[in-house]
Amino acid sequence: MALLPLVEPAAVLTDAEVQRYARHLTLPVVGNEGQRRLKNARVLVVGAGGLGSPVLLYLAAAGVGTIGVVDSDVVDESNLQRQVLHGTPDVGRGKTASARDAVERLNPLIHVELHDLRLDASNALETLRGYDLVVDGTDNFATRYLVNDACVLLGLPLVWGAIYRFDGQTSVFWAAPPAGCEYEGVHYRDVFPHPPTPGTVPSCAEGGVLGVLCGAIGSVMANEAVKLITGIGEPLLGRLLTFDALTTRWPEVLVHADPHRAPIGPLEDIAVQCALPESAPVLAGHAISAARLAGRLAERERGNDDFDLVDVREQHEFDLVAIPGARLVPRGGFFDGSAFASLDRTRPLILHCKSGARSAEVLTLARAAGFGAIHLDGGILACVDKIELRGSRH
Amino acid sequence: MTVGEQVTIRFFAGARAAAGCDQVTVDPGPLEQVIKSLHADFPALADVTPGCSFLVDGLSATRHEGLLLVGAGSTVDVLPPFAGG
Repeated sequence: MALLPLVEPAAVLTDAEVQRYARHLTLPVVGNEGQRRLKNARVLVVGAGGLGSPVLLYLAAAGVGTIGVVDSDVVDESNLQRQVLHGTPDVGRGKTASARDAVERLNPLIHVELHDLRLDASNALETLRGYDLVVDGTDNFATRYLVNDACVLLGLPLVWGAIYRFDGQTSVFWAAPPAGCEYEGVHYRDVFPHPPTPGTVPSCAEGGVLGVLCGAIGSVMANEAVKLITGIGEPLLGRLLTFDALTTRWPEVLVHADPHRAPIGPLEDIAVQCALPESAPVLAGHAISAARLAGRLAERERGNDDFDLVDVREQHEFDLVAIPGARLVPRGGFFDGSAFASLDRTRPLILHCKSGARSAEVLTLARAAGFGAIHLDGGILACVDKIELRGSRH
Repeated sequence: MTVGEQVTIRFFAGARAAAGCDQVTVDPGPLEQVIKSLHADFPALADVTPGCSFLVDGLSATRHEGLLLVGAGSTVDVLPPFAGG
């Protein structure tokens, strides 16, 4: 059962539009009227990354008249394996500007609005307000809960998708679909009521992600957006589609509104819930400089010092570059406790990661577990010129 | 016991990897007990389920603190959260 079209049709299509969208115009349920609805639509895409790339390209090609893009990142070389909107010449550029150029190259008939910012409690409502539909392809829980809650407060439908490694999830959330429709209003918190405990769920940067997975999930998301705008087909509302890229299966999960769900609280609370446990500012005595570590490594080599140098990054990072004499115990093992079995409480422990952020988190856990641990200030990045590293720099 | 008298547990993403299978059937009972028996059968799941959403016939069980009764014929979907995009 279709929902009513989200957008009223524009008055007319120009000759250029009739030519460009010819294959839509001959489609029975889209046709000229559907295309005019697309032309009048205002869609906000949050995140111009892996999922945002196919969403933006397909919505632009489909003729969605106004597309907003929210992102505050710059294009990194490691993005190009999956963020097909951006190319090699875009490395180092802002993602929103790169996205606008790509979309305008594809379809100059549409209008792109740039929001070169990171959504937070202070700007979320004003950024989302005025759009007909929001598409969430961000890369972190804080923004996902923020976008969901803002959509609930504004009454907006949300096309949502998330990916990790070989798995994808996508759905349509709309807390208050039009009265009288056959759909129950559900939103993100009916599936995942609270943000996960910070630090317990690895990011794509740590766990990796199969590039083409973005295309599979992102194109489903674009499809849902087009359907909602034009009011055709059955929306993915009340169903969550999962995708396993390794077996190519798309099992569906039923989603009902939780009758006991808590009302949406202040947006400010989300940042607090999603913040990493205040890695109690590392005390000066609990950090070691790269220069000092170089000295201690040399002393250990001579048998005059003893400590366990533990790298808490991931295997692929360790393979790329490492401090000779360090061994790998990825950070996740400290969060689930499994790492402690491989450590000797009686031996001094020096933790390190790439920049010092992850090792500072692990330091808090290790000290709480009774280890006399310290960590390398500034991580491997601080070692360049101080310690002869194995492999190339990050 | 026939399938209709049992509970179907479906595992997704990391939960499926930890269980090593797509789904199993278990006896009905309070969700807490169902989860305990899953941990006994698939020890690796114990690391994953604390972060997962349990949807019992589409309804999130998170607020019910494991007290929710999972009846015969129900389906429980074990869904890990992830935020990649």
